[in-house]
Amino acid sequence: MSGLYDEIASFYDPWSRSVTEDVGFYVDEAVASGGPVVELAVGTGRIAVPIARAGIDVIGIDSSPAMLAVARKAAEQAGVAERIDLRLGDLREPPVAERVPLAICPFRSLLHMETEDEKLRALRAARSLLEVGGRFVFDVFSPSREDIEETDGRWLEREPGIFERADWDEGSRTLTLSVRSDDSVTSFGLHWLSVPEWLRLLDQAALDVEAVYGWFDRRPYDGEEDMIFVTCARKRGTRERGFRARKRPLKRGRLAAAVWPHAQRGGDAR
Amino acid sequence: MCVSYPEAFATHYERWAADMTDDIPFYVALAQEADGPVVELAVGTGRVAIPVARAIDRKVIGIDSSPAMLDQARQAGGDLLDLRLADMRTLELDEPAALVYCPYRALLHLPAWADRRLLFERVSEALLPGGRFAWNAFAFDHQIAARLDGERQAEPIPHTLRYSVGESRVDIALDSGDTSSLWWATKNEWLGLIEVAGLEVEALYGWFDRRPFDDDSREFVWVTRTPTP
Repeated sequence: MSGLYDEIASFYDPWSRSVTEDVGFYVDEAVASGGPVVELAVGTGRIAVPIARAGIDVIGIDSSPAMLAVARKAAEQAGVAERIDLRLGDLREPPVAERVPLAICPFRSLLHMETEDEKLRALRAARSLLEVGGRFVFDVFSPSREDIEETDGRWLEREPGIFERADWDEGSRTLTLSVRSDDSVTSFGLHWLSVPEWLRLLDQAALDVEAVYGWFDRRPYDGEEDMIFVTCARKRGTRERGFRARKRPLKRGRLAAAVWPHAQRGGDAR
Repeated sequence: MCVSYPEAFATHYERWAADMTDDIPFYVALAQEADGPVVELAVGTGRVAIPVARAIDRKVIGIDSSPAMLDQARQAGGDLLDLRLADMRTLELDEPAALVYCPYRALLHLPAWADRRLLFERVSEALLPGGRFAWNAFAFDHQIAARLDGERQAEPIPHTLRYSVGESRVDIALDSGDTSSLWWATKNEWLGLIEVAGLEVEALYGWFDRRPFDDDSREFVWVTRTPTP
């Protein structure tokens, strides 16, 4: 992964130029926490620099030296180098001894984790960085059918001279994203999950979900592609606290067997 | 969230279930190995519980949250069953069970992880040491979902399916306007539930004939148990 980002570091910022709506959201979270903030997969500092400019200290972790070099330069140019502590490392084993009130992992970076076990390791690592009552906030996506149909296998000019192509594999739930600039092409995989699967991983990582938003304006999640999780470190020894099954009546159709073809019996039933 | 009218589904249940029969001998065999009380979750009309009770020659405890379903079960085999109107998430037994089972993918009516975790923990607490919890559920496949999504189907009663993949949910809308939802789970989610409830996997089959579960399997058939000291 570090190799990949080393390759795209030079044009990462132009490529992601149109992504701005998350910045204000994460800055608000950082200011509300009082800091310091650990940003996992800090990249080029696209979010860390505005947080630092808001007066909050940031510890930024990334596995790509080239991305960190870009971030360092950005921090210097913004005059906030003393507020941003950049460290080379893996987000599953972040080189952070400090305990902080807020950890963030913006821009779908957790989806670089290929398996659920790796995602769980990353969540547990984030949890371990938090002081009592601290929060871990991150965003991910799960594509809609329309999204897949509109973009699958097509080179689209995302920014002038920078093309992006999405190849979706719904079976393995992997998006292979390719970025082309001049004559270099770089590809990487993003491995998505559904909301219920994230809720399960968060529960197992002892992170209680405070909110699931559908966008950075904090609208509630309602089945859209983007999901933003605001979670809080569960107090040790209070596993059940904050974990309450919804006490509304169950839906009781008995149609489970009808929903799915009995493929094992009649071959492909439909 | 759509409003559900479960009683409307109860009257049609036998027609939906008419082609599901392979599960009965599987659950009967588990019950015959059970040395203690046997409990069926979401007992419904007693389709599985009645043959099970006959085979083991004792009453099966049947739990369901639908009075209309329980009425049907009572008429079909009331003397063979100990029927209880309850939400399975609040399962409590006077006496620990040797077998709790949930056929017909009924666990998928629990909306996602939180409800399921509660249920698994309750079941685990209600079992004897070495007692079993068995259930089956479909294994999601995106190609099947893509084919069925939005398509109206006439049989067994006219209905349309809508898949919300990001939420692992499928909504079943009858032409009459009644709706119901299911939330599917992956193998990893089932393993997570088994782990948090302190259960052990005894077997994962791909169908009721006990073939091993593999990449082509479209059904999870799980047999788990509580640890023995």
